Order: sequence, then C-alpha cells, then structure tokens
Amino acid sequence: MKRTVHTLHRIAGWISANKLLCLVTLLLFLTPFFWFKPGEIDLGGDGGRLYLYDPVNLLRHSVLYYIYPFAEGVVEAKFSILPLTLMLALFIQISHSGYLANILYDSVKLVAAFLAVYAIVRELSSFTARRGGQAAVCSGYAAILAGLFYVFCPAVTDNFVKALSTQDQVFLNPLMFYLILRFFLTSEWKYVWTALLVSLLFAHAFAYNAAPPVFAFYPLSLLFLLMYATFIRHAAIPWRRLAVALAAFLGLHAFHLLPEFLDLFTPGSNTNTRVFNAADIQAQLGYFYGVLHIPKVSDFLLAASPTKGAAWGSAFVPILTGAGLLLNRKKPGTMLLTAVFFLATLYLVSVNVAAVGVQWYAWLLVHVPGFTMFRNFYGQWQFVFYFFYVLLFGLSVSVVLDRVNRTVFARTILLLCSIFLAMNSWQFITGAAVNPYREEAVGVKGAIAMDPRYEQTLSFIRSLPDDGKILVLPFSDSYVQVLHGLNPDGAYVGNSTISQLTGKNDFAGYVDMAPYSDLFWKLSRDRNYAAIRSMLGLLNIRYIYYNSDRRIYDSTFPGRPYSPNYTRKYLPKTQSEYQTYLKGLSGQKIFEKGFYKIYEITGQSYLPRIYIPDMITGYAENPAFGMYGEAEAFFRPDRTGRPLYLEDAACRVIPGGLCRPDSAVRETRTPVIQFTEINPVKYRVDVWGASVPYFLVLSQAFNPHWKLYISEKPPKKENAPASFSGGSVHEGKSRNVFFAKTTFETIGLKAIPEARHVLVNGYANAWYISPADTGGARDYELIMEMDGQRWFYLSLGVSAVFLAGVLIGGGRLFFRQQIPRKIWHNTD
Amino acid sequence: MRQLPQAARTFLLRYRHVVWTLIVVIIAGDIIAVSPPSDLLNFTILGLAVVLFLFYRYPARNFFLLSLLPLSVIGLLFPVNPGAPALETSAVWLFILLAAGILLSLFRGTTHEAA
Repeated sequence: MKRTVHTLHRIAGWISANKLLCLVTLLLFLTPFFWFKPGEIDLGGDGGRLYLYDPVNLLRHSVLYYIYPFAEGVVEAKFSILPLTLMLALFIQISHSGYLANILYDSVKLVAAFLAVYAIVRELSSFTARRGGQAAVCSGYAAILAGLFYVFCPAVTDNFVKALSTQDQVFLNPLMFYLILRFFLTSEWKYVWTALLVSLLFAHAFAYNAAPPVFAFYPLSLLFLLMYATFIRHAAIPWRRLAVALAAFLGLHAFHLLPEFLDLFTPGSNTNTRVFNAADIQAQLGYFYGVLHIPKVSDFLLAASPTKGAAWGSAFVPILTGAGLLLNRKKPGTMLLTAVFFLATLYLVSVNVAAVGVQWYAWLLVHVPGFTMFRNFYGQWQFVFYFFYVLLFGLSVSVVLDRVNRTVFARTILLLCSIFLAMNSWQFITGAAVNPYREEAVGVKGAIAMDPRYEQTLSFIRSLPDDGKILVLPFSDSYVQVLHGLNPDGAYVGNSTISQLTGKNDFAGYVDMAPYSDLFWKLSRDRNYAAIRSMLGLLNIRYIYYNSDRRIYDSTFPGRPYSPNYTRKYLPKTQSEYQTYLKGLSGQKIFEKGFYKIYEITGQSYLPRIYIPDMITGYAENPAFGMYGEAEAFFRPDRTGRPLYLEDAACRVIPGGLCRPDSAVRETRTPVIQFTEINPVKYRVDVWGASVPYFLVLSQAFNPHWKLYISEKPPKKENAPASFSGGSVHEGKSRNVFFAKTTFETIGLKAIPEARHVLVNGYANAWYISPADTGGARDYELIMEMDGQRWFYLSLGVSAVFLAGVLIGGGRLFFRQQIPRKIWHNTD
Repeated sequence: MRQLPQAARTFLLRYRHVVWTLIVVIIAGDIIAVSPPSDLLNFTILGLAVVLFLFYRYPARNFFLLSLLPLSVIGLLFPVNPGAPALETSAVWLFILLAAGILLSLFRGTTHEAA
C-alpha cells in the first residue's frame, strides 16, 4: 500500500513537472477521435487493414496459412501479421468495436511517435538539460517542438491516407531508435526486452513486405547510434548483449522470417523474382527513371506537402535548422553527426541533387541485389529522412534557445512554431486529410461502416461447401472489390473481403483471372454464356457473388475500378445490363440480402477443385497472348467432360501415350476419387480402381511447394455431401484443422517425383501417377500438401520457445527491480 | 597553397572581399538564372570555394554562413511562388554548401564536445 501511494506520488510529481508535455500528449491522443464517425473503420490502402474489422475470421481463413485465398490461391508467406491480428482479435472480442480499435490504434501511433522523438531529442541534447534550470526548459521545449514537427511532417500525415500495415513504422522507427540508444548508453536489459516485445507485436513491420522501410531505416540508424555512442558519448557498446539481443530477435521472428526466406529462394516466387531476376531489375530501373522528375529537394527541405494548409510558413524549419548549425559551439559533434545523416538521407530521398548522384543511384539499383526495393526512392527513404531532419531540427532549436537563454523568447518560439504546425496540419487534425474523398469516385470517402446485410452474406458464404470458388460481380479492371458502406459517404475499395474473411477463393477483377482474363472479357463481350460457364468451370468457379448496389457501378464509381475503356467495354455497362448477364450466366439464386446475392452456376461444365481428367489435350504455347491471355492458346469452348490442357513441352516429359503434343487423348478408365480438405494447404484424396496411369489435377495456382504423397493408409469412404462429374469425384467433409496429430504425417512418405508435377490449364497443378508409384495398388490414399506450411509450423515452434525465454527473462528483470538487490542476491 | 606564386597570394589576400563577392554573385546568378542544373558548374564553384576556404583559413562555420544565401532565397521565394525553378536550385545549393561545411568541420576535427 505504502509502495503504491509512493508510486502515485511520483507519477503526480512527474506530471506536475511536465505539464506541457502531458497536455500535448493528451491532445495528440484525442486527435484521431475527430477523424471518423462512430462505427466507421478506415481499412487502409487496398483494404490492407482488414484486421481492424474482423481479425478472428482473418486469422481463421487467411493469416495462418501459406496460401492467400485470392483468385487461384496466391502462395505467399504473410505470417508476420499474426501477432497483431491476435492482439486485435482479443481486443475486439472484449470491446466488440472495430471503430474503437481503429481510433486507439491511430492514437497510439501519434502518441508513441511524439513521445519517442521527444525522448530522443532530450537525450541527444542532454548537455543542456544536465545543467538544469533554464537550459533544461529550453531542451524540453525543443524536444516538444521536434516531436510535433515529426508527428505533423508529410511522411507521417500523408501516409495516414490509405495506410498500409507498414505505415506503423512512423512510430516504431523512433521508438526502436530510442530503446536502442538507451541500451547502447546504459547496457540495461530492460530496453532490449521492451524492444524485442514491441518488435514481436508489430512483426509485420519487420517482415518481407516491410523490407524497404526496414532496410532504409535500421542500417543507417544503427550506424548513427554506434558512432554517437562510441565517438561522442564514449560509451562501451555491449557487444555480447547485442549479439544475444540479435539472436533473440531472429528467434522471436522466426515464425515469419523462415517462411519468407524459403520464399526468397523458391524459383518463380514474387520475392525471388524481385530480388534476383535480371529482367525484373531492368524493369525496376525503368520505373526509377520514370519517377525521377517527381521529388524535389526543396519540397523535402521545406517539409512541404500538398495537404499542408499553411505551407507558406514552412521555411521556418530550414531557417531554424540553419541558425542552429551556425550558433552551435558547445556540442558540434552531435550536431555534425546528425547533419551528416540528414544530408545523406536527403540525397537518398531526392536523388536529384546532382546528375552524378542520379547515375550512382542507378548503379546501386542494378548492382546491389535487392536494392530495387528502393526504386520508389522518395517514398521509401522519406521516413528515415524526416526522422534525421527532426533530430537535426530539435538539436538546432535547442541550440538557438540555449544561446538566447531567455524564457520569454523560448516560449514565444514554442508558441509560434506550435501554432504554425497546427495550422499547417489542420486538415490532418480534423481528419479531412486522413479520410479524404476518393479521387476516383463521386462523393465517397475511404472509411466505411460495414453493412450488417453484407456481414450476413459473408456468414452465408462461410457456410457453403468448401469446394467452389467465387466470381465477384461487378467485375473490376484490376483485383479490387467495391462495397458501399452503411454510411452514405463511405465505400471500400480494396482486396476482396470475401476471400480473406471466408477463406473462399474469389476472382474480383481482370488481374485475378489470369491467364483467362482476356478470354473472359471477349466471351463476355460476345455474351457467349455457355463458353463462359465452361471457362469458369476450368477455374473451379462455382458461385457468383453479385452486388446489385447501383451506387457502386452506376453513380459513385464511373471510372476506376470499372473503367469505360476496360471492364465496361466487355462486361455489362450498367447494373441493369448485369441483371440480363446474370440470367444468361447462372442458374440458381441461393442467397439474397439487400444488395448482396449469391448464385450457383448450374450445368455440367463445373470441375471440382481436385479431379481426374478424361480428355488430355496438348497445345503449343503462344507468347503473343501474354500472361493475361494465355488461355486463348488452348481453351476449347465446346469441351465436354473433364479436360486437361497441357503445354507441349510439359507433355513431352510424360511417359506413355497419355499425352500427345498438339492433339487430344481420351481416357475412359479413370479411377473414382474422394477428396477432403483438411485445411487450405492440405487435402486427403482417396482413390479407387486406379488400373492405368492418370493425371490428378489440383485447381490451385501452380507452385513447386505443392507435393503429392502416397499415404500408407487405405482409402476411407465418407458420407460425401457433394458429388461431381457423374459421380467420379466426391467431396468429403472439410475440417479446416490448423494443427492436429496428423499434421506431420507426410514426413517420410513417398512423394510423386517433381518431374511429373506439371502446370496444366494455364495455372493449375497436376501429377502424373502410374501404378508403379503405388506398388501396383488400385485403391489407396494420397495426400496433397503445401510443404512450405511445414516451415511455418517449425518456425512457429522456434518463436514460441524464444518467446517463453524472453518472457521468463522479463519476469526475472521485473522481480530484480521490485525486490531490493540484497534480498535478491541472498535468495538467488 | 604555399606553392602559389607570391603575386597571386598577395592578390588573393588583398582582394579577398572581391573574390568572395564574386563567389556569392556566381552562386546567386546560378540560382536566379533559370538554366538546367549543371554538375560541372556546381562542382567548379564548390571546388573553388573550398580551395579559397583553405587558403584564407576560414572556419568551416563560414560555409554555413554562405548557405544563408540559398536559405534566404528559399524563405523569401517559397511563400510567394512555391513552384519557382529557383527554389529547387537554391535547395541544391543549400545541400552542397551544408555538405561542404560539415565535411570541412569533420576533417578539421571540430567535433570535440565538452561534457
């Protein structure tokens, strides 16, 4: 009790001594409460922040698996969002409010960014603070100004619009910088421990997706900190502890770093292509030269931005900084070191300081592996640039106030600058800049209050049988889904919520449909419904989700993502025309709630996710069609049965006469199969009556990590809820089990050789299986598995062990601080 | 610098204000004249300025003083005409002069901090 009272007294004393700091912090905390109306959620750019809306379903259907359910199944490790999603799931389970989660999340960003910058500037300018009295006041004022400048600089304010998850760096960068700084200066574990836990909670900010900001900020910052601690503060760097901290960091983050590492070295993966593909590097170089004219050195020096209201006054920042450099006498080292990093980052963010600078940057892009991540240099380096600019500004203000050494002057500067910063960022403070009207739409903003009828639709989709993908209509130019909110001025435009929140693969636009995109448009333009159905069947599309809201197609979005020159040129031009289109295309409406309707495509053209073809057709690849039109090289609109299209080169490696280049082979002796989805990365396939070689097709995007194992168990017939293709394919009851005793059952099992794993139908996986593979058995069980998921299980275990270690270490630290040292040592 | 002929040394010492006025005028001229930025011009002027700094044994701080010129242009021009090409040239000059001042300070070892 006495200890609690004492602590409360200390807190009250601290608040009393730092009234201004507390007031500013409180105001910043409250700012996001002005941004959105109750119920609205800002789901960020491309809907990248769905974890604020429904983290539980996101976790269940997307986050835990190596495959994202977009289109044909995007194989990509995105596990890093797991800790944040878990934390938000917990919060939303308690608060039942995505709105509150959104607001508090933004508040935490602002407050943490401000306080971290404040603490850093206080620490760096501590030479004045140590003298106490007036100098300490000046240093405090300078630190507050620096914090405000950071919070209101364009890198922070402009990136709140359509924020991506990586935008969290706005507060993580200064926070981690401060913790590492304190660790270097004091060697105390508590700073490392806090940094490790923060990094784990926001692991997505340290993942592959966040590679550009991470590699832009941390190497430079660590170099600065090492130089500062060594040459200016003459502190002994705790190298051993640093090594332990680094090992703990890698261990804690193993759950996403290991699968991402696997991705990096998987030929053809997005990551591998981006880092190692020479053609892609040349394309990135073209992008670099394309955007070279955009950034201006003056804009960065003035911290100017189009959203700033009183930009005319921006010159005060470089003027005060220049004055600080001129007047600085007492601590030139800190100032010069900061200025060096400021100038280095100013060059990186603007590049245009000299022609030779441009040439050098282009050389780096070509010759340093992975440097192409900085092709959008002004976007990627802006955070680290403004960070060092803020530090230099804070130190400069501290010097200026210290030299003048008058409280009235210090207060006047603080007041004027704060008023200017607030005026300049007024649109940000009121939310007009955070939630602006969408430039591609008429009168709608980004924040959305989710329509409960849409939520019911999502629930219905979750209850559908597992087999069958979904076509999203109206169909967009790209890959986005559009959804009007319950609020009249809010609309969602982003990655499909259906796939992410229900686990059902869906096709929302042209990009999703590759390599059938051009074909789909042409068939739709000709209103050739039978051929469209046949094509959709090949893609395993069984359902149509149709949003009949006239606002999204007829009035609010006249252009992107439903451009007259793209999607409207081929698909229906209005919602009325869509009604006719749907009548021709679909059979049965199985759900309707408000604007939202679900149709099931009827007819024989549907092919289940896993099937055995009875007609194998070889075809010659035609590069003229490109990646979005390749299907035109093989697609036969009049097909019957269960076709398989195999490119000639792949066809030639298949032994026997089952596949012949440029001709079709019919196979009637196909076995009967029953497949059961264990989870999105694992299927059990029971086979009966396999007497001859056959192809087994998995209608998911081709990836070498998909493996087919021959199980040692006999096939087991279930009460199949669904039957396809005249009873030759059955679907068992799906379990969607993330982890079970049988999770690692495929380790040690014989797999079908990779040479007989081929790309078919332009996108899917197929294995050529002969009786020899199964020892002549006719009835057996196969297991299809994405083996990359194993890495996730393994690395999750590693992370769990490290987390336990870090938590135990933290507990030990805590008790060491609570219990007086003497007692601790006596009982140790 | 010691190898310079005596006549040149005397000339430079006698007309130091003229020399510096010329440097300032050239920089101001480059800022005001709307011409494509030239590395050759920028680095020639910078090189000349650095040589003169060493010759006159000026403190590196004077580079910061010199950078007040582009800084003033930025301060005055931005509120009036934020899109002016001279603004960008001033910013580049500010970058160059600050970089020169900082590097000179570092090389001269003026980084020692009193605790």
